[in-house]
Amino acid sequence: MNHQTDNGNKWSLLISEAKRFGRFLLSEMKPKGKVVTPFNVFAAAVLATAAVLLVIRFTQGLASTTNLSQDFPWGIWIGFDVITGVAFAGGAYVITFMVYILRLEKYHPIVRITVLNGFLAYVFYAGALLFDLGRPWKVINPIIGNSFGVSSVMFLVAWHFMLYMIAEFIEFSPAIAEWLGWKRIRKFLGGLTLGAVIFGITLSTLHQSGLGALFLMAKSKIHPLWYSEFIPILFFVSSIFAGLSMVIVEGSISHRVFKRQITLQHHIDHEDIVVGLARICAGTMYVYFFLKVLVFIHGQQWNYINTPMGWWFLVEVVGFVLIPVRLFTQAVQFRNLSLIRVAAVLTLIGIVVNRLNVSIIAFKWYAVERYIPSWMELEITLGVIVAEILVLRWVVNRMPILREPPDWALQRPEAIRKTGFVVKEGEEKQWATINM
Amino acid sequence: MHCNQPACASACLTKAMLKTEQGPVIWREDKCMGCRFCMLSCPFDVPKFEYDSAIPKIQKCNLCWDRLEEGKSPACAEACPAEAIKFGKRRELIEAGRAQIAKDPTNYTHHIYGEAEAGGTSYMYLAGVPFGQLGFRTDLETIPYPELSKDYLYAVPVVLTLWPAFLLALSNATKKESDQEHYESPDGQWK
Repeated sequence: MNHQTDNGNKWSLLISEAKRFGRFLLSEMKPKGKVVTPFNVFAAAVLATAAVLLVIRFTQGLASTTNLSQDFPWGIWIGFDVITGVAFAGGAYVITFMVYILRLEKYHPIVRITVLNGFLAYVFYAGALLFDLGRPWKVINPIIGNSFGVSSVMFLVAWHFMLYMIAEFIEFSPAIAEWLGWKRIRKFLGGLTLGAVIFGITLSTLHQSGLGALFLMAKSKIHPLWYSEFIPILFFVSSIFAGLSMVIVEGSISHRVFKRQITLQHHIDHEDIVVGLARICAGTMYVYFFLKVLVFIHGQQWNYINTPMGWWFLVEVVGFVLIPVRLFTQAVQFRNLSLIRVAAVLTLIGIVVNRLNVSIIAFKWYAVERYIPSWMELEITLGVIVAEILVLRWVVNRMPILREPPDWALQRPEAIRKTGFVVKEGEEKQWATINM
Repeated sequence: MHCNQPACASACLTKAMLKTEQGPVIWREDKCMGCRFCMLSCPFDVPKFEYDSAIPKIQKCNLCWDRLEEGKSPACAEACPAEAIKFGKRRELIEAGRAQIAKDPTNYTHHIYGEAEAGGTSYMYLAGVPFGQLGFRTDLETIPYPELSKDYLYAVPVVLTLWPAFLLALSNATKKESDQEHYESPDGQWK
């Protein structure tokens, strides 16, 4: 008898908990803040147009919306969305390496926002790959069944994208558990972080370089100034400073947009963090520049320099590698944050130029009919970026990304010490017990 | 061109592009996801994609693979009345080609296109003018194209096994005392 009522209590408890959870989710779905803002109107227009264009693309075929051709099978949906987007998302593996492997605690405050950014970049930019696939309903083929094309670099990239998304989700998942108030699950997920980080860095090393390795077999199609057997290494090294530059630029934007969520301590540390990141950017960019020069001299490519493609090569290497690295160096010396931002933006432009050069501009540079993206390809790309920003904003406004995690999640003494500078009213007792 | 070691087949992540034992490189509709990496990789730009279709296919010569299965020769070779297209064993065809050039050296370009290009192909050409004039790429590698990404692919398992071990070791090496599993020091205070 007693046993039965016990069970009944459990059930009613479970149901009421589920109801409470449902109400919580519903209330979180609602927008926080004004709905009609200039950005929201712009975003709605872009997304609506992109949706119409995608219907056309999937019913009429790729020719209806893109300027792809038999000569240029890959356009900006691959060259920009995937290949450049993934380089920009490299910040996540670099920052997690610095914080969880090297334990540079200084960078801890930017881990969550960077991992979230990286995760969403993969979901959206690699997800945009589905628009480009001719037969997207077969996309599961390399994952299941007996169709393992293990000799393909693309096979490696596809698997790594998928596994890395899972790893990044695990790295990020404690924030979701904190948002939902799942204490036990939070503890469990927190325990997975180091494993996910190690796995994630390994996968990133391989697929950042793998995106470059995709072009290895196109030797006779890519201009000699951009083709070398070192493309994978160049792609990997450049993803380090591409990712960090993105973290710098994105950080300076989110510091303005999400100003109120950021803790005082983080505001104070911000300058130190940015200068530190800029220093690492400068270091890796010098390595990258050195590699570029080495490849250039090793390939005996002097005779290409005084041609239009050679001038363009110089624009990329001098204008968007050497100049920004010089600016970074100078800005770090004088702790000049705005100069660091300028250098970071220049670096990002340089990455776009480099990735588009390898995948589109220097690709079949000899072709009579060049590929120029259609406005529809650009519109859909813009739609993907806008959608990512909207989701990012939704998450940041709800989960403890820039904000401090809830008190119950700060179990480790060092974390408490770090954030416990100010004891709020009514918390003195709790603070004292924790410190015991 | 049905290369001996086709770039397209090694590029394909679903094995939709397949080098068959008889020689033809065929495309299999049920496997392909339409990524067009085969088109990017093929030095001869052979695979073509149906950009106008919502259910696109890759189009390429399949060397009448189904006819070969039945023991017949490809339709083009059988139909050609002048025997300008010949079908046979690759080795014999190369010998026949060389003999043809030797027999009429003034009218033939002294090269069998496809004998060495991209590591050798199953479809080979003779011509009366330099191949460059006919729109053939004459600057291709003579190694099989899959060799170009082989080194990278060999490095993958090395990185995949050594990198995690290295990272784990590094992570342990940087552990501070306060991060160790024991949070309490002997006197009972938090460290």
